Amino acid sequence: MGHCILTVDDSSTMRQMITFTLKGAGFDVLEAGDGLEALEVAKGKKLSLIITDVNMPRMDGITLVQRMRALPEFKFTPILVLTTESDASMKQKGKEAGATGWIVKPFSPEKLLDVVNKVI
Amino acid sequence: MSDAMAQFRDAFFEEATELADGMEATLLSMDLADVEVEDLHTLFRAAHSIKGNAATFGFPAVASFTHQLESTLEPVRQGTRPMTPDLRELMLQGVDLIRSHLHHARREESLPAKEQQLQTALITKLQDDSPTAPPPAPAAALQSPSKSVALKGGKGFSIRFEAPTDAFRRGINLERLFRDLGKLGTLQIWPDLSRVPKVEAMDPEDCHLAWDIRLETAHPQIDVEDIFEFVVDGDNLRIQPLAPEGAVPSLGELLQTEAGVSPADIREALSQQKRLGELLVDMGKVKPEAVNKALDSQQKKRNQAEASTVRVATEKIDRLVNLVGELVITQAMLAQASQQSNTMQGEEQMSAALMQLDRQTRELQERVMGIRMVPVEMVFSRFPRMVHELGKQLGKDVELVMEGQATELDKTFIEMLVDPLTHLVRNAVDHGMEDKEERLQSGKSPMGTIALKASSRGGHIHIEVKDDGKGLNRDRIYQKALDRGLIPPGTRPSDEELNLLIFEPGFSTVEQVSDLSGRGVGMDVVRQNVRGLGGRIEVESQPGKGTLIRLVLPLTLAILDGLTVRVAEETFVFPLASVLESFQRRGSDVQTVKGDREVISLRGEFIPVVRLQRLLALGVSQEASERTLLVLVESEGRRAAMAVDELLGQQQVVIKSLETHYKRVEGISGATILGDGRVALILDVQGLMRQEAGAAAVGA
Repeated sequence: MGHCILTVDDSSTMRQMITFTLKGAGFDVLEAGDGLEALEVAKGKKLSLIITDVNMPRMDGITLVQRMRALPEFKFTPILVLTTESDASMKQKGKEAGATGWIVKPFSPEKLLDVVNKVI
Repeated sequence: MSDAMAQFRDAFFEEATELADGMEATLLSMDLADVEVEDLHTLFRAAHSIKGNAATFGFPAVASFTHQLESTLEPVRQGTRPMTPDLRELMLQGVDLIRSHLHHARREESLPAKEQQLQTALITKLQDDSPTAPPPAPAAALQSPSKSVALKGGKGFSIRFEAPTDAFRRGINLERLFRDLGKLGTLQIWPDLSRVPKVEAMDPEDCHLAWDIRLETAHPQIDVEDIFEFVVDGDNLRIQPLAPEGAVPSLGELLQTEAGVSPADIREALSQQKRLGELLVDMGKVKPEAVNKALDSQQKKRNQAEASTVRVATEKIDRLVNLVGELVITQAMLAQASQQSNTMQGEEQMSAALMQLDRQTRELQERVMGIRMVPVEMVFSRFPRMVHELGKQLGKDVELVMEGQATELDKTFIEMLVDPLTHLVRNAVDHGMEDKEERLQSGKSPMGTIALKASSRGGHIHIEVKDDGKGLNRDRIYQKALDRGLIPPGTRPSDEELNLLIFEPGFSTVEQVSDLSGRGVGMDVVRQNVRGLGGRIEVESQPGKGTLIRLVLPLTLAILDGLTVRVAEETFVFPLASVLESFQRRGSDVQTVKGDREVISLRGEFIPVVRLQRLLALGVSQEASERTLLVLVESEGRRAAMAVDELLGQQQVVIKSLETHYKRVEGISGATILGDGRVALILDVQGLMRQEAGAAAVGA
């Protein structure tokens, strides 16, 4: 199928873990360190899913979701928000911005794949 | 923990440590009178990342503590709580605790009781200190939402689901929902189109679909809820069990629902189960000492594993890969040239390829050495905090200025420089710097400055610790040296020589040994460490202006500037750093004292002569020259003249360990391979002197 997933996180460890897990499951993975870089990386790409952290320098995840939704090519692309805030407010903010869903940290590689498979 | 997670554990620890270091640096550099909002965000993000990663990689204790710091920082970055000096101190303590947490988590230990207490106290203070004390964050905030609904399983569920209006705009795949539901069991679906508005009134991007679903399944309700996780919005999902059926819950779950025990308490209780060693000791199968010994050796192995990794920038590796690519091309060129080596063209090609090979080999050598190089920042980064604390403790206003943090040094150096530099910086603050009143009296700014500077000069790295304090009191040093018999009475050494006396063992001119300096490593140990690295120390000091101590270090330990010499038929290498000069003397200039000890007189000083060929048992040299060639060497402040047969030249040699390939040999520090493929031994000057002294003692 060749699904390509963009993972956005300012923590390189987290990014590596996500990339490793997703690649292991046969996905193609692109990486970006913050929202602005994500917009750059995504340009011209066909993405099946975007996974983004919330708290990041330069551009946070919520803004990234809003910006993505404003672009015709990513208007309907699933976007998952990574968050440690398991409270309703962050999920709500993500939803309002147009995020498809969220993954609450801490999560295991298995959980990550579960959620990814839920939206792709 | 799954393998995939274990793989990233080291990366987690490194990153978390860096984040903690970053928090500390930010806290220290913050101007509390005018706090940059971005700094607060940086702090918050760091705490947030550590928390999230710790929880993900299986370190709940790290996560929950960092969570407290994060919660404290939240109102601060929102501007509702000021960053006060007190709060900064508390946060700094917090950073220390994070480090300690990481240290213990890495060893799979829990935090020691003492630090647990510190942590509890700190958390209380963080909350007390807050003008609008936030409620203590529940431990449950870190867990997945309560799963008590999962207690009851049944034959299945009847489900009513109305899709959220924004489902399409949020990239939700509704088809996927039904596919996943279908995986749980048998599905019957009745779409409900009654909510779809008339075409004229409809926004095609809105979703108005709804379904009634009957699902026969053995899965618990939570699994069903999980599928709808992202589309639940208010009351748009209703799930009712078809035929409720009791399942036997675990004791923990029952206690949770019926007795109100918190999940955290249950986890705590479970974690108190005994460890393997304790169990075996209780069973009388093994003695406690044996368990401790095994744990110790496990610890050692762990430490070794930790110490042996080095982080390398990808860029450096990329350059290496490129270079290897170029080498392959050169090799092909050489192969081709060698086939037509008897033609003019072949010869030209050959020499061109050889020149290229020469350049590439040199570059490869530099780059590979570069892998071991890490920025001096790694040592420097600890000093802002230290100087801050020291200044506070001593009641001095001290500012630390750093320069050249990007200068790269061999990784081994970095590790071995920590203690000496710490000592020098402490000394500068404690002894070099006057207190405020004294500074004001002598017309200086009350704020003292310590400058840490690293720079690369030729083949050396210079690291300077400079203070603008009172400078060395050379008269007192002179007096003290006289008292201790370090210098003969009646002579007054030069200022430079006097400066260096502070590095003599047990030399301290401070009457009052303070709590900070004057303990642990002394200045003599600093010099010893620096010499151990093949470096030297220079001191500049001006009364009333300050002192500068400069460590001059070679670029790397793996390559040595050497003086190659011949003794009998063998070639040896002297480390150039310990060679002062070489000269020839007539055999008659060598005088014998105390029976068989030979000395020569050099500028009024008697210097012992070491006959290398005798010491190293090389047999008698053939040349019965009447002139003796001597190499004057110095180590640990002692000098000796080593008799050799020929000086061959200066060159850089790559040090190979003799110990790993053969065994330790007194007087030899390693070996190297010369251009012609022969092995030359590298002389350990200090060892040779020791050996000679020993031989003389036996002979006497």
